[in-house]
Amino acid sequence: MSDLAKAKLWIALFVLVILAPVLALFWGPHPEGREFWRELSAAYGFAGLALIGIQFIPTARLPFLAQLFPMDTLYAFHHKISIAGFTLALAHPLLLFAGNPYTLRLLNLATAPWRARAAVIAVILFILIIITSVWRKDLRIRYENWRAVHDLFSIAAAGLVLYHMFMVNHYMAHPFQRVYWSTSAVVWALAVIYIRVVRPIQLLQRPYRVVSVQAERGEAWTLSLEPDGHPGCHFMAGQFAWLVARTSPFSFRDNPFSFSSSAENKNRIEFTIKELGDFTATVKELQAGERVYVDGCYGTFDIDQHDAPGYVMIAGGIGSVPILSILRTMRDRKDNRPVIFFYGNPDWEQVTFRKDLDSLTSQMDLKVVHVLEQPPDNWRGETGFITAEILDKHLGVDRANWHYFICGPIPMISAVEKALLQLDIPLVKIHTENYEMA
Amino acid sequence: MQDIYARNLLIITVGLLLLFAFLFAILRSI
Repeated sequence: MSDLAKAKLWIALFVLVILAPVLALFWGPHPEGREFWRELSAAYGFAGLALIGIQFIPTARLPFLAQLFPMDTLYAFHHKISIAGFTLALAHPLLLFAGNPYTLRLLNLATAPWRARAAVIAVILFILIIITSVWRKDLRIRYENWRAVHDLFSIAAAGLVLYHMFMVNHYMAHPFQRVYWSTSAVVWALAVIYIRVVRPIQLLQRPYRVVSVQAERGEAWTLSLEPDGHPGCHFMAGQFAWLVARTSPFSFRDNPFSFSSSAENKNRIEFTIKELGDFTATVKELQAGERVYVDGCYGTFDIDQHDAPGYVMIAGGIGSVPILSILRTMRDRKDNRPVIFFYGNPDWEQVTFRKDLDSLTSQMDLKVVHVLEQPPDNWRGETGFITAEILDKHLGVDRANWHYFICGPIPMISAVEKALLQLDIPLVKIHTENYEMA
Repeated sequence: MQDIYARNLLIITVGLLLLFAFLFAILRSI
């Protein structure tokens, strides 16, 4: 079965799993019918938890999903679906209160039954989860602390909601609902156990050693690693991995970085990391011989899965890292298909891989179009941002048959994607990776 | 590209959920 067919099957399964508990509500025998708002409230409750519960899956880095769907899409999906799920779940009590204001007494934690207390606490936890996730940086919460709290609150809230549902026991009395929600709880728990226990154990068995840390232009550092006592990971050019350094794989301090080395070099892997604060600032302090862990490989941002007569790479700043990996791999494979690389940077001094790109142009069919926001005085190249005009000027007549890979911050990806659509590039030929996913 | 697909899937899924929930509530309350 092709990857596309598998992806479609997973999407169909997702829709089915989400709709199942709501569709099953139609399935009798039923308790006696109640007023409209109360029934609508119950249905929203089921719909909300179905969406919220499934959130344990996309972030568990399950290999069979990561192989089919880009990880940043899985995360974007997680963010959007969680908010949608919470909104539906919140509509459940709100409709209940609106339909029958007497039910407001359930909010009084001192006198309310435990099934109501559990729901109220779960809603408070969900609100805290959303606030700390959406505004983590504004609230200055450290990434690893946020991850720990996010995990703990999510598990607690899911448990409390399940307790609430089983204790209310209205539509939950139906055997389908009991089996569905019990099975769901087991699946959610397995996803958490996989990412928090199984995966770290696997990483401990496959350590890497730091070979060197080399400074690059644009406040970036290239970290070279060699597998320690195992064959290493065979990544595809353009993929990324989560890096764990100076801590245990069981900690919450792992960070995703793209490989910058050639996928043909099996014995040594390299990451190029821009210094942005938090973990990235410690990369330069790593010493040769130090032990690190690499959770990978992930991502579908690679040319092997998207055969084309030629490629267009578009990067903003450090988004060039996976593209360098693709270019170096093509060079090592003596792949002579033409590549045009549009590379946007603030200024000439900060262009990471400037020299590497110069030498790559002589080793393969590569044309690099530098686009600078603040060009030096004698600059003859492109200036400003990567726009439809700049793309149009450099792309050939066969442009609709080529594949396009864009990596950079989200606003840059959106702008370039729009520009490509303006130039009649088919949507299916555009591949994106944003580096601010989690 | 993937974001557009993800957004469409979200709209369809949530739309169906809202629709079925509404239908259910009508059927049960009449």
